[in-house]
Amino acid sequence: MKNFEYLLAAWIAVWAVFFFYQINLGRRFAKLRDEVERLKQQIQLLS
Amino acid sequence: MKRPVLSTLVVTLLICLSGYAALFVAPDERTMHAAQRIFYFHVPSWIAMFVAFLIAVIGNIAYLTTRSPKWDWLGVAGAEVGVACCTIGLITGPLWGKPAWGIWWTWDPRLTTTFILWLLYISYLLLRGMIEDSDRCARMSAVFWGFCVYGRPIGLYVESFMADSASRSCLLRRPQGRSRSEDGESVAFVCDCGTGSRHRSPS
Repeated sequence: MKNFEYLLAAWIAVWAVFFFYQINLGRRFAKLRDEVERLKQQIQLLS
Repeated sequence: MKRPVLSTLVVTLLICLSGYAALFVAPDERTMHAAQRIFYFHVPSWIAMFVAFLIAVIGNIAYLTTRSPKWDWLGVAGAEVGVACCTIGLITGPLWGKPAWGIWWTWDPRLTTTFILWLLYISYLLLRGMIEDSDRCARMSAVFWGFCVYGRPIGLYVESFMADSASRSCLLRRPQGRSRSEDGESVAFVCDCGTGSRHRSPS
């Protein structure tokens, strides 16, 4: 198949962007969850 | 089954189906061959970008009028997805351009304005990370987002006067005797490049 290398490179690039964004979202979500847990603990300590 | 899980499964199934159809079902294009299949995710990424940015604009305008944080969240969600789609478009464009035009990149108005706007969209996300006060951050980023997004129509307007646009010279070239109003058909051709490839295939 002619020009297949360009198609393959584009295919990899698309999935790389998706995965990078997904990992980024996952990390931020985990950070937010930790912060919520920390705030819950602080509220419990105060009450 | 929970709704997010179900929607994720449906989207994954649709991605797999469309990926299979784009790679194996669609006929090979006569001149660009496999590189033409890049259009199956290059053009949709721009369409998705415009939809996401429209959502971001709605979110930011609604935030500026109501000051409700949920609109700010909608705005930033739309902006992030739009930036991801814009990045995909900017990466896959040169990968299609090399076999089609013979060059990776050219500083023509269309590509240059798109690249500048991509930088602005990135700076929008950076700006949000730099301001700690959430209300001030939402307000400033909503105003900045308006500045970023209104740049796109201005860019397109400027491009319409530039005859040496690389994409125009290749895809949107106006044949002799053809009126400017017929350029709309050319835009439709670009969008139809993927699905309409069977008309240009040897089979």
